[in-house]
Amino acid sequence: MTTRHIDLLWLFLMFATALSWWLAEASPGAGVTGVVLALAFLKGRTVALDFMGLRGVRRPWPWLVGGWLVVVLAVIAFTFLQAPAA
Amino acid sequence: MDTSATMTLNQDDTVEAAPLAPPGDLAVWFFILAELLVFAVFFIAYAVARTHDVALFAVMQQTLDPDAGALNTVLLVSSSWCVARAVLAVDGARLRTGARWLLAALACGGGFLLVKGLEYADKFAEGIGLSTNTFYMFYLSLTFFHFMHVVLGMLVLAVLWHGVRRGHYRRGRLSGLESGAVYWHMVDLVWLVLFPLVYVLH
Repeated sequence: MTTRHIDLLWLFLMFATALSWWLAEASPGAGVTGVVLALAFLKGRTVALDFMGLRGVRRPWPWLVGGWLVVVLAVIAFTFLQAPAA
Repeated sequence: MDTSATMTLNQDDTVEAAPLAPPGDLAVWFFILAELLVFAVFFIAYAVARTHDVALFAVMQQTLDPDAGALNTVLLVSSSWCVARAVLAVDGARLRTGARWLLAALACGGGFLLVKGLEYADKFAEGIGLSTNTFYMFYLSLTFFHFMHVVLGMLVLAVLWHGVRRGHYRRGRLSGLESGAVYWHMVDLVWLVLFPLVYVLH
């Protein structure tokens, strides 16, 4: 991991945050829910693998944190798609 | 069982093996897993509770300030970035630079607490509390639980800053610094789910 790599990841996280923030004003819908949760997954994955240093670490560590992220976001997606705001 | 960082296949062919354990103290990782489990229960409880009163949650979400939530995301993600740069600097024997990055991380963490504190003050001034309704019961308890983790994380960062200035950490002796760093990143990771769940999704 180099400083340039870390800086680029921070830029990506800033961009993804700006996109999520912009989507907060968008009309509710399955598409918006999907994009917002996909962005949350990508941001969380970046923090877990690159900032927390789990990239390249042997199982089960990357799977445990990644699995946490997938399960939590999947349950959130399921409940929001089952009961969307009117 | 091979516990070395490299595996020799034959005289001329060596491959890098993945490190067995993640950076930092293994005990901290078990603590982090326990914390993530508690937050997962909170998140799922919020999402399920919302399905029982979608209209209430939709109206109450409109009373939140998504700009404050986004600003806090920027502050917490930037703080995580500063900590990652600090670890890299100390690993490269640039202790002063590492200490400065940790100070920057603390400043971002302080900014987060300030923004969140102003949000709370605004709500309390309106007479909003835990018993206002189901949404605010979840919003206040979930975000305050996370708020307290930020406070604890900042105490950890302050100890790390002191340790870096005293020269306690160097290449090959980074476990303490890495342990504190991964805890701070965990606080960031949790917020990356909390922000869209509470502020963005409808």
